[in-house]
Parts: sequence; C-alpha cells; structure tokens
Amino acid sequence: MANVTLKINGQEVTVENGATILEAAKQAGIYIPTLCYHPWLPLEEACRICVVEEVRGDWSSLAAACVYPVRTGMVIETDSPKVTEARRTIMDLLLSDHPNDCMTCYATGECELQDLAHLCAVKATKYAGARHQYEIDSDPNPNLHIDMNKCILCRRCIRACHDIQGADIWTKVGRGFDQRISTAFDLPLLDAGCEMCGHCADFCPVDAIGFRKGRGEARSWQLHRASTICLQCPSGCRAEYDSIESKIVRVLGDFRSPANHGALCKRGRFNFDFINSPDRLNEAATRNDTGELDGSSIEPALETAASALRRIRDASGGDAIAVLCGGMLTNEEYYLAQKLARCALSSNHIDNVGGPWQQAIYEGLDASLGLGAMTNSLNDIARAGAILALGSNTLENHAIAAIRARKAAREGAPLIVANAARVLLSKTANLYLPLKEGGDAALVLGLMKVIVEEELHDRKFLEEYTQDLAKLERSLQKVNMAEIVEKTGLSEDEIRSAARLYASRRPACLVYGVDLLNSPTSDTFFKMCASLQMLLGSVGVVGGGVNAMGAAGNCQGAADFGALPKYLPGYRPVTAAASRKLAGTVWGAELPKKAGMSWPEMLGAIEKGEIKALYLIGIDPFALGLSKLKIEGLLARLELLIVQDSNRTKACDYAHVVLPAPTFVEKAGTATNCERRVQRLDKVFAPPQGAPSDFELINTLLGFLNPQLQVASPEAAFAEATRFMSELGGVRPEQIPVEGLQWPVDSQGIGTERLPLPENGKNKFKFFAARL
Amino acid sequence: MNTKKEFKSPVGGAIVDPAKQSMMLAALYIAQEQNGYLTKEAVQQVAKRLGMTPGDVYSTASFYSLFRMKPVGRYVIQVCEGISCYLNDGAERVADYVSEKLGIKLGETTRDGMFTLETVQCLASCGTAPAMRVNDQLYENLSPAIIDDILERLMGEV
Amino acid sequence: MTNWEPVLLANVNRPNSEKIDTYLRYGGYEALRKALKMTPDQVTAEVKTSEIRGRGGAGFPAGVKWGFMPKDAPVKYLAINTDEGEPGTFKDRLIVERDPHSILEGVIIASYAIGAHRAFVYIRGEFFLGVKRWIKAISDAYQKGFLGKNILGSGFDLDVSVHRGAGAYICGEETAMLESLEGKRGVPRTKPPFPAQKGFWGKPTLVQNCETLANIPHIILRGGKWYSSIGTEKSKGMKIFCISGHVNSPGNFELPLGTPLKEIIYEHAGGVRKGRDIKAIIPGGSSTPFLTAEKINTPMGFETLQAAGSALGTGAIIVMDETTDMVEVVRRITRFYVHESCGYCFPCRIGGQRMLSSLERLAGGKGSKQDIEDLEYVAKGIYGRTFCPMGTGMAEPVLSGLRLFRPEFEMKTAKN
Repeated sequence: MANVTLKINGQEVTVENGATILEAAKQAGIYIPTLCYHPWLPLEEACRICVVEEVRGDWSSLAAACVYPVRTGMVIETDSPKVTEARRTIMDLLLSDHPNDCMTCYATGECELQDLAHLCAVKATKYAGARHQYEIDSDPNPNLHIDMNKCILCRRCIRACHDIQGADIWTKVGRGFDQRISTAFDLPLLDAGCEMCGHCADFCPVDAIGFRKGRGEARSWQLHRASTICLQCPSGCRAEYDSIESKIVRVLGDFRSPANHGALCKRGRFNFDFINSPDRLNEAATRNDTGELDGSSIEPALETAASALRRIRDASGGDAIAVLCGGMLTNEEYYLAQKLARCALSSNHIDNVGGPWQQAIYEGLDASLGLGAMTNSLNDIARAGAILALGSNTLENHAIAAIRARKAAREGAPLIVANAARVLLSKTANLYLPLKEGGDAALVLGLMKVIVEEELHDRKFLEEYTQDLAKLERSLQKVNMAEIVEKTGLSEDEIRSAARLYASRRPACLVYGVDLLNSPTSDTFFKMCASLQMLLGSVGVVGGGVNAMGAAGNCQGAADFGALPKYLPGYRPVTAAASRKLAGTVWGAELPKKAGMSWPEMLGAIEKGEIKALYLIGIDPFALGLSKLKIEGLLARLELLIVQDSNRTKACDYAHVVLPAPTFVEKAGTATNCERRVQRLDKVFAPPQGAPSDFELINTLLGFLNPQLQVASPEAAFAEATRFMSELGGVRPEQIPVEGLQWPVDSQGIGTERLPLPENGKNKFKFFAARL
Repeated sequence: MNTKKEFKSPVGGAIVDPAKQSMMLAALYIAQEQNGYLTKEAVQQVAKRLGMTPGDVYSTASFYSLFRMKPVGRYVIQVCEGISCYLNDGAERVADYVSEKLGIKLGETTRDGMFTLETVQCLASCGTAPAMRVNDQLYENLSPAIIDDILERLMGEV
Repeated sequence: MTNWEPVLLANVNRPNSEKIDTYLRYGGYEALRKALKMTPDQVTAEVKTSEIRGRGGAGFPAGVKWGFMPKDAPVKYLAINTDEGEPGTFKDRLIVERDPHSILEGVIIASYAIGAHRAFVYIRGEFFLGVKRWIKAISDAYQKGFLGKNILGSGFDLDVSVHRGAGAYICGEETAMLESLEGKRGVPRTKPPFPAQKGFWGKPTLVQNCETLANIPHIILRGGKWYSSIGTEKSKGMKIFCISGHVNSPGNFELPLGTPLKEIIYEHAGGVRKGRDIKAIIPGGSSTPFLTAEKINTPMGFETLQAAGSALGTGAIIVMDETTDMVEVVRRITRFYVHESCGYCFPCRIGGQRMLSSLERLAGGKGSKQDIEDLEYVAKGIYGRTFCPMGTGMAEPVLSGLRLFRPEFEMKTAKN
C-alpha cells in the first residue's frame, strides 16, 4: 500500500494510505485525546474531543482525528489554541450535564472524563439549567450498576453490545438533549434479554454502567491489576483481574490475546466468587483412626498420601490406582500428574474431566486431517460463510465462539443451530433444528447424504485436496434416510433444507462444543464432521474448518500434555513400544503397557472394586452430571481418596487426605485453549497463606514416591514435555508471546493459525466410510 | 492478519434486510393507526415483520416526534409554535386559547378522551399564520372565532 | 415594481392546478418529451449552463452535483427532498400541493440525466395533503405513461414512490434523509463519502430539493442560457421567496434572484404592518443571521447576502418590526433547533440545551450578565464544530442576535 507523508505539530510522519489522523499521530507518538473512540469498537464520531486543526495556508479548519483520513502534504496541529478551545468547550458542556461526583464516584482515578477534564483544565460547570435526573442504580440485575446520570452518551456500550456481543440490548432512545441509553421499552436488562457479558461496563469510560461487585470497597488506585488466562472454559480468554488484598473485585477483558480480543463471557467476567469464597480450603487434612478429618500441615498430609498410595500400589498393583484431573490445571500440572500416575504409581489410569471428548476429537481429526484439534481459530468463525452449530449450548458454554458465529451471521452467513433445546443462539439462527438428544452424528450423516445426492459438494476441492472420497460415497448410499430421520427427530425436508442452506455459502464453518452432560462422542463422529467440511471445500481455508471445542478450561492442554489414559504427551500412544522407549529415556522409568481407563471407565472399576485409590486434582466428582447417590456410593468404596482442590467440595467428606490448592488465578504456568493456543498464566496474587500450587503438591508427592521423577520447576516440566511434543517446536515457555502461540509451532517458532491445505498432493485429507 | 479490522467491519442491526428495514416508518404509521399510539405489542409486531430487534424499532420510533409512545385523545391538536406564528399573534396565544376552551394544559388529554393538546414545530404555514393541525388536517389564518368553529364541529362529530 | 411573469408559480392559482389535465393543458410534460430526445449528457449540460443552484438551503450548483453521479454505476437513485421544515419556509409545500407535476416532470428529467431508474420522494410527515397530492400525481403520471417502463417510447424506465417522514427536521439534511428513507433514526452520515458516491442503500444517489427540480422543465424548454440570463452574477434564475412575519401581505413571491429585499418587502408583500419600522429581517430561513433595516437594499442573492453578513438559505424572509422582542425571537428559534437536534454529536446535543437555558432565563427576565456571556461562549463553541451543519445553524441566530441586539439582551438581565 502506498504511503502518505504529512506533518503533525511540525513533525513529519509517514503512514499507510487510508490511515486516520489519529492513527498517524499515534505512530508518531503524539497524543490526541479521545472519548467516544475506542480502538476495538466501530467509530462513532460523536464527541468531537479528538478535533485537530488542519492548516491550509492562511485558513484552517477543525477535523475529527478519529475518522479523518490523512493526505499527502497535510499540515495538522493537535494542540493549537483553536483546538484547545474547541476541546475545552466540549468538556465544559459535558461537565454541565454530569453529576461531577468525583469524590465518591467509583470510577474516580480511572474515569476518562475526569482525565480529560484534568487535561483540558476544565472545572465543573458553572452553567445552570436542565440536567438529567435518572434513578441511581436503576436496574435490578445482579452484576451491573446503572447510573445514567453519569452517562456522556459516547455510546460505547451500544457498540460493544452490538459489535462484540451481538446481543443488541442497549439502544438509543429519544433524540436531542433527551436522548438516552436504554433498552427496548425501557425494560430492565434481564427482561430485555441481556446476556450479562458485561462488555458495556468494561467499555464505559465513566461509571454510568459499572460493576456492582466491589463497589465502594476500594478506590481505583488501590486495586492491583494483573493479566492471566481464564480457565473456566476452553476459549482461554486473556483477562485482567483487579483485586484488593487478594480479593478479586472485577474482571476486565484483555485485548492482547486473539483468542478473545477483549471479549469475555458471563462466567469469565462474573464467576469469581469461588476465588474469594470462605469455602476455600486453607489447610490440609488427614483422616484419623476414628474416621475424623484432622487438620494438618501440608508436608505430613502429602507424606500420608504417598505412603497410602505406595501401599496400595505394592499390594494391588498400579491398576488399582487412578488419577483424575479437573479442567483448571496448567499444562505443567497435567504433565506432572500423568508422570506421577505412569511412573510413580505404575498406572495409566490418568484422565481429565474432558478427556473422553478430547481423545475423540484428537483421534477423529488426526486420522482425517492430520491435525488432531480444532482446525481453525476462534477468530475464523467470524469470517465464516455459513455456520452449523452443534453440541453445547454455545452461548453458555463456548460463548466466545458463539458471539463470533453471531457476528458472521450478522454479515450474512446463514446460521444453523441444531440442538435438543431451543438454546439462545437459535434466536440469531436462520434455521433452528430441534435435534433429538444425541442425534448430532445422524444429522451430520444426513447432511452429507443430501450434499452428495444433490451434488452440492466442491468437486475441484475434493479432487485436489482429498482422498478416498469413493469410500464415503459408497457408504452413504447405504445410509437409510428413514434411519436418519428417526435418529435426529427431524423430517427429511428439514434435513434437506438445512443441507442446502449450509452448502449455500462457502466457507462452511462447523462449530461443535462439547457438552459434559452428553455422553462422549466417538472419533467416528469427528471423522464425519471432517468429511462434511471436506465435501464443502471448507477445510484448510479461512473461515471454515471443524471447530471442535472441549468440555472444560484447559482440557486441550491436558490432552496435549498427556493427561489421557491412552496417550503420553504429544499423543504418543502408551501402547506403542516406541513411545514407552522415549518415556524410558526421558523419565528413566518403565511404564505399564496397557492403555489406562477413561474416567467413566474408572468409575465403573471403582464400583467393581478394581480401583481402590483415587487421586482427584481440582475436580468435584459431584459436578460430573451423575447422580449424587451413585457418586457417594463410589467414593465410600475407595480405600484411599485424595482430594486436592481449591474449594471445599462434598468429596472432602469421603477423603482420606485433603490438600488445599490454589485457583487458576493464583498460579503460573501455561495453558492451551481449544484453538491450540498455548498461553502463559501469571499469578494475579499469591494463594492464601502462600499455599503451594498443584504443581508443587504433585512434585512433593513425587519426591516421597521417587525423588528422581521430580521436576525442578514448571519451566523445566514444560521443557521436558516438549521432548515428547514435536508440535511445540522446542519453544520455551518464556518465549511465548502475550498473544500466545498456536501449535504446531515450526522450528522458527511460528505458530499455526489454521490447518493449511495439503501441498503437492501429499498428505491429502482423508475420507472414511460413513458410520453412525 | 489484521484482526483489528474484523472488529471494525461495518455491521447493522441484527440480521437486517435493508429492503424490509426501509419500510420501518410506513410500518410504524400503520401500527400507530390502531391505537393512536405505539403499543409495546405494536412495536414488537413491527420488529417481527421487519426482522429486526424490538430495541431497534423502539429506538427508531423514539427518534420521530410523530410517533407516540403514550395514549392520546381522539383528536390531537398541534399548535404551531414557530417564529412566524408567534409574530402573528399565534403560537402560545392560540395554545392558551385552546387550553382554556378545553380545560387542559399542554400535553394533556381531555377527560372524555376527545382532545389532546400539543405544540408543534413550524408547520410551513408562515404565510398563512397562525396555524394548527388537528390529526392530519391543517388549519390556517386562525382567529378565536375560527378555533371555536373547529372545536365545535369536532365535538359535534361524535 | 417590476412584475415578472411567474415561471414556477404560473400554475398554482389556476383552478384544479394539481391535476394532471390542468398541467398538460398548459404545456406540461413537453420538457420531458424534449429531454428524452436529448442524450442524458446534453440534459446535464443544459442544467450546468443554467447555473441553477440548489434551492434547499446550501445553494450547491445543481448541474455540478448531477455531474458527480458516476456514469458507470449500474444502480443509481434520485431522492426528492420535500422535508421542508426550516421555520419561515413554505414554498415546497405550495408547489407540492398545487403543482406537483411540475416537480415530477423535473424528477423524471433528472433521473433520465443521471441514469436513475428509481426515485424516492421523502416528504415531511406533517404534510398530509402534500402526501396525498404526491401519490395522486405519481399514479396519474403512470397512467399517462410518464412513469413506469419505456417512458414515452424512449426506452427509459423510472419508478417513483412516496415516503413519509415522521417529524424530524434533521431529515432535511440530505444524508439524514437517506438514513430515514432506509428506515433508521435520521442521523446525518459522515461526508465523505457523499451521496453521489454512496447514498441510499450504499448506491450513488442524487438528492435534490423540490423547488430545484421544478425549475428543470423550464430550463430544458427554454434553455440554460435563458435561465442564466436571469439573476445576478452568481445567483441565476427565478426564486420563490417566502415572506412572513410583520408584513401586510405575507406569501410566496416568485422573483429573479437578486431582487432587493426592500422591493420584496415593500412592493410585493405590501410593506410593514401598521407602517412600523423594521427592526430585523431574517433573509433565508431561521438559521440565517439577522439583518437590520439598514441592509434593506441588499439584493436577494447568494453572494450579495453573504456580503451583507447573512445567507440566502431557503429564501424565506421573516420581517420583524420595531416592537419585536428579539430575545424572545432568538429563544424561540433556539428552542426549535434544540427540539430538532438529533443528539448525535456532543456540541449540538448539550450546547443547544445550554443556550436555551440561558435564553429562557433572559426571556423570562431572570437572566444575568453571566447568561449573556455563557450564551456567546457556547454559541461560538459549537459554531462550525458539530458533526453536521445544524449546529452551526443553531449558533447563527444566537451570534447574530447578540451582535446586532446586545443591548436588548442586557436590558433583560435581572438587574434591569
């Protein structure tokens, strides 16, 4: 692109053609104040704070820097008397309809209006006359505090609600001086359909829309801010946590990670009470002879755990021990947990809460496409030509994918939502299919059948980039539409029109979110998903792909780093001699040859008495969607139950050893989100009483069992893990940039945003016979 | 890859069909005819028919002064308060006269639900001032006698 | 008094002037027949030769505006601005109600010249009779073959539809009008892109005022040269002047541009009522600065009024006699603009309200010197600094009121 050279405050600046004055000034390090402008929102051009003077010989005019494009030879003054005066007038006017309650205002110290008043040296107004009088705290919702008296009508909230969340709740009502921000019919937020993402509060420059929690507890400058990765779902959003005295008061979006680009969901934004909770475990405990839990310091508790584990291993063999991890551990912790299970406890019964699904995703997609995870990036969903959303209630469980799907839909991509429940995303959908529970696989098959029958597929793509199409075609002929209709609960017409709609625009983008409450899908399902996408020429391209997202926080990392019963780190099958040989070299230990049990299998084995010891790391077995009675029965059967968690759960009642652990905001390490993005976690604050992390707990346990297996630090664990994982390209954790790194990483340290197309006819995408 | 641009890409409303959206004002007029003002149900109906969010329709309706969100009388009297009407002894004088006659203040509706009194911006009757509108009928060159006539005729129509 | 043969208002006083038969009887649609035999470029050239400037207020040369319409764009639109709302202006309503075909003929010719096959009439919601007259005129024109497919056998197609506004002065601003036509809040758009580049539904759109279009048939029939022979150096042709306020015979008068203000007031409008002296004149609608009686000899042209410190605007003259309370006049005008501010940009939204607050206090005799200072500060502060020209239009009457009648404002302060 051609460059343009202009002068700003006498300084020559060369920028790309099409840049705005504001962008040019930023590049030159010249500050132009803004107010309605936000770099991550569409332009509004309303406040006129950013006006600058464009000098043309002996006359000049004022232009809004946020929108005005640069021209060669342009002469711009950003601080001339004319500019300063214009800015001052606007500030005068703004403050004349503002409460100017800075002394008690929650936003004071971080209020953009306050900062501008300071910059322009404008005092609270002298103008008497009409001011708005709105009710303070006018909305009864639990999370946001609304005080529209403070609103300056920059309308960032409306833009965030529309452009980022796509909820369209906030809107402009009335006109002129009486214009205000409100909802349809001025309904309370929740009645108006608000999804409680909190973007409006995040973007509000003042305290018109603020957060309810923490209000009045601290001044902004007392807050400690740190950025880390949210591990409450597989999106892996980077967020900023504001805390005071190790208590989180609010969570703000961090724009630096492309995973979320500043967006957060309701859970990530508001679900932090468990961190501040009085139910946090703050000391270790062991069960005494009378069956009571006795408080203990950590080391002795770990020692008790180690000797009990050793006893059971020696008496009943490693197969009597299982380790099950939750979804909020770091990669290094998963790595260490599986090392503990495999080497120290001689058991491959190591799994994580999302393991069964993650394993299916890996096996299905790796076999079909050669990349065993989400093929594209979350960001790609916004660029889809057509979208099929399957699996979870996407807006609840995989919100970042959902809001991007909604964005694509707004720009014309037909959106098909197939779900047993009329989930929220279906409101935006062009077509909602009331799918029978568990009918996803049948639907995908049905769609393929129609696509092939009606020749909606992309022949050129298939020829160039795929193999074994005939296998699929042959098998599809045998697929009986009546059976599909039966299994999906949809009519043939519905399936046909869905297929036509889905095939109507390319790239087609398949979004599948794992729902923990549905039984694990098989690798076949993901092979079929890949086939569907291949038929539509939508694999290996921007905006397409099989976008399968796991069940919980860092499940991708858990799988990648070996917390799976069948696979060592890097998806090396434990059943393969070569893998075990490598493990022998790296770990100096011999591994059991048989694949371990997945957690549903573990539960079965506990019932049968085959598994006698269970080590739970950050997982509440009562939250697995099974009956409470059943879990109680299982836990009671165990000879040894070790519960390591941040919060007191019901499982503690059955535990022989309880170990307190930090929450995800209290630890450092790495995590990998569903789009294969490895990101660094940093401690927001130290865990209570300086409690050790899960990593340290497992490492100490290793020390008691076999000190040779200990790893010096999370960094060392990561380095050790990369010996198994060629897809990490030998990167060191400290080299991971703030935006993360998506595996596979090449030798230059460059990540992979999306699965590439096969080159030179090699490694073509592979079709498999259609199976339900 | 410029991800920033993606966020900035132009968007408009939910999934909006421009051809449908352009019928907004006409649809709102029709919706208003039924009750004399826009009920919540009417706005929702318009939103549904145009494929837009209720918020968008509500927001648009609230921009235009001819769309009402509150009930009004059978006849809405709008007295022009423009500069030329003022210079020709109209505007407030006409409004005051009507107000006294009907026993209602500006913005109010008579108890029998017959008349609502409002002021309105310049009606482009400056050459024939003072002027007022009753529903869609324009009355010009007003004098007390003419106003009396108009009101009596409207009352007689019931 | 020179009596000019009316061009635009030739039909309006005839019985049944709005009917198509009446229009045809007096030579209606002859210009269209002529235009359709010319090339579109020849039509545009004729309009350029006429040097006619837009009659909606901004005075942009119409031919030049037509020339901006890209030739190669497959879809183009014409939008007809009948959103007359500037206080003091009542000319478009007259033509629409009494001679709609004269505008429609101009619409068809303009569409032909720019290659538009779809035209939209945007009319003020309050103009109920106007809406009816537009619709009737259009349907009659379809019947006679002046609209629809293959107009008069020329192969040119055009459809025209009528769209009612709903009470928002700002929709007279061309981009706000396009937004409103699209069914949105009538908020002005950023320029550039101009409507000729990206207008209705993102397609090149020519927006033209009614009176401007009503001139077109005459320019085509009699030639651009004839048209440009009327008027002053930079203000050509005939203009409908709306005159109201303290005059004996208010109304619309069609006269050449450049006719002195004095002639219009005293000869055509019958002079000031009760023989009083003039205190102030608004020459071009309420957003143009006031003139005092000493400027009465100013010719009513774009450049001449500018030199006199005001503007031609819509050509709406409001005369105020010596008894007029100028503070109240400024308050009333400001109240209008505050009521009509769309509220999009900050200076107009808040600034207008602040000016009004001060003016209300002053007009109510409760103001202070500070109010006068504030008024001036805010008016200067929003002048030329708003998103669209409306903010400037709001500041003009305040600034000129203070400039010319400051003692009256000072007399109103509480101390006095």
